Amino acid sequence: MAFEFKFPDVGEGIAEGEIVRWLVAEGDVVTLDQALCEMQTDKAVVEIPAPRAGTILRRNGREGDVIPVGQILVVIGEASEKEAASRPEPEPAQASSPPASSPAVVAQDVVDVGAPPRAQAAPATRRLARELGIDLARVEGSGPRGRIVPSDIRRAAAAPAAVTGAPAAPQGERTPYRLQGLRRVIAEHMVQSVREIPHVSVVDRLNARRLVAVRTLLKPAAEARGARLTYLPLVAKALSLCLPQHPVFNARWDDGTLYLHRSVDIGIATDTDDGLIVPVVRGVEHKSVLEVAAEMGRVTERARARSLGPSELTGSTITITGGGPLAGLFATPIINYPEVAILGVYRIQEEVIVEEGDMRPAPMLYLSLTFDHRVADGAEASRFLSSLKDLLATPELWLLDLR
Amino acid sequence: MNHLPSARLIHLGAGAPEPALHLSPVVTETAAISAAERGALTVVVRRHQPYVLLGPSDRRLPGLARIREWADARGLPAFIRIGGGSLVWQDTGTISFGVARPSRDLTTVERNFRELGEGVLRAIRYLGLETAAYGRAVGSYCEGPWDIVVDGVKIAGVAQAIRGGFALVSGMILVNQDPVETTRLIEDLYELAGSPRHLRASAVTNLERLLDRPVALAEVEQALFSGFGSLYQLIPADLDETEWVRAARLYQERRLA
Repeated sequence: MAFEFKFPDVGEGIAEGEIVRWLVAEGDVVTLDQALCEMQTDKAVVEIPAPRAGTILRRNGREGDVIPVGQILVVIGEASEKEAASRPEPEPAQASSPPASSPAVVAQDVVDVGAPPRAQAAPATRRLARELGIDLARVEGSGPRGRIVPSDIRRAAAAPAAVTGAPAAPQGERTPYRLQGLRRVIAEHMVQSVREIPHVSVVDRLNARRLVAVRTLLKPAAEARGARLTYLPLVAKALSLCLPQHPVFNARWDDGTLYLHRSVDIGIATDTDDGLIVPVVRGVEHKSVLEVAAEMGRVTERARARSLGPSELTGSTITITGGGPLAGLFATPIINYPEVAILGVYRIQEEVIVEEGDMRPAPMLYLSLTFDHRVADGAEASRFLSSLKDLLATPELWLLDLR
Repeated sequence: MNHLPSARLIHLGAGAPEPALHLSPVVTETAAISAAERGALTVVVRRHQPYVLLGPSDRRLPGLARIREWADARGLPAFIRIGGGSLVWQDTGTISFGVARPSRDLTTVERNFRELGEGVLRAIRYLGLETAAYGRAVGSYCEGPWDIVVDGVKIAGVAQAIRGGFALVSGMILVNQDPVETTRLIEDLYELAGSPRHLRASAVTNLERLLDRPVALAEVEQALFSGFGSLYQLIPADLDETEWVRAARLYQERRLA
């Protein structure tokens, strides 16, 4: 009786593989453990051995095809069973597809399954496109009569536009979305942080009237000297003034050991077209507000241009993330692993507060501090946030620390 | 008393004769076959002359012959490796390594990467890069999730093959190879082969850049001996005559013809 041999699960977390090379042909007689093909998954090439002796009745997939774990790879049986096994592996059902067992479909190499105009591609090519998140309608085919072949899909997947993630061909009411490139790296980084660090957040708000006044005063002067002064450089500088009194928040885990850092190297969470990038402004404690603003402007601009060098992207000891002008009162950000704390700074908005017994409008700034609960407790984090809040509420206090 | 498992160590170092260096690109596979036959864990640390090393999927490049012609014109050999990944450029600014153990288990891909690559990871940390870790350097040439990265930037490429009764984890440490020139060269070769790739040179680095000092190949070799030596009792044993014959045959088989 014919035996359907499926692509085995070759390792934890590996869901698919590329057929690099067939080592047998249909009709070949194989012995037990004879290599059938080479499959590649993430830089590992595995020779797949025959699970039994017999005749290769059918090979499923061509070299270069990417197939999921569990899909039939070969059918092995007696030569006389050839006829029954000649049925190809059906495509996963699509909303607009005819039944997979329809003879009108299985007899064709190129399947037309939807409303015209449809891109012409073989089932394995369509599957590859779905796996890589490529919309076939946007791919120019290089095969005969414009047919799309696997190399077209890979070329499309390698194009810069596809690096952050992409929707694949809609499947009825839902569309699979595959994380790619930087998006995938961000995802892995976030998962690692949440998995390894017990996160806790404290949130507070402050009357930013004086901070707004100071920034309004300094902004034109900074611009005259070539720097754009937003609130973030002021927050970064205040942070560097607070951290020496709360050193556990200026720290990184390396190989299971927590290191407290003297230098305040602040990561600036930067929204780019490709996703979140965190360039570093180093030695903030030694820089003036103007220097911090200039450096922050330089690295965030380079981040958006994706032209940062490794040294500008690594080694931060604490991170600031800004809600900026986007909506939202505050958030509880994820710590930039392997750091200990991340400070959230949100938009300043007018709120009515009680001040000296009167209700008055005031520009209120929300801050959040998310920290590693292994390293600090809520009381310590609250004291740290409170000292930062005091400095930002009364920027004149900084004068005391000027050298 | 030493309780470490023993491992054969094959080293093609500074004093390796020219014929051995000539066959260096296939020494790791040769040693892996012997590892399967003898049931012995084997570590290879080797230098080599410059060569182009393609991945198995690169066989389907539409203009593959043009890469061979490019290499031929410069007197360089080009090989297709048995491990995964894609095209890399091997020169005297890199050190290659390989670790093989007998295995017929297809389900241990991740475990093999983690365990057999550990000696390299330790070596890089011994050199002073304590944050070295397995990871994916997005956009790097021959990108993969089990490369060794320092703060997300590739310092060593790592690939694997499971076949013929062995599991082999192999790759190269970038010592002073220029990542920008290498990335451009690889882009040029893919373009030449009719399958352009957009790669990110900044996703790759080398030891000298990260350590900010000259790094000799011998220093990296010593670090590899220390790294693997912390895991195994290394027993130096060069290839024997039979193995050199096999290497010579593999050289012809793996060379891009």
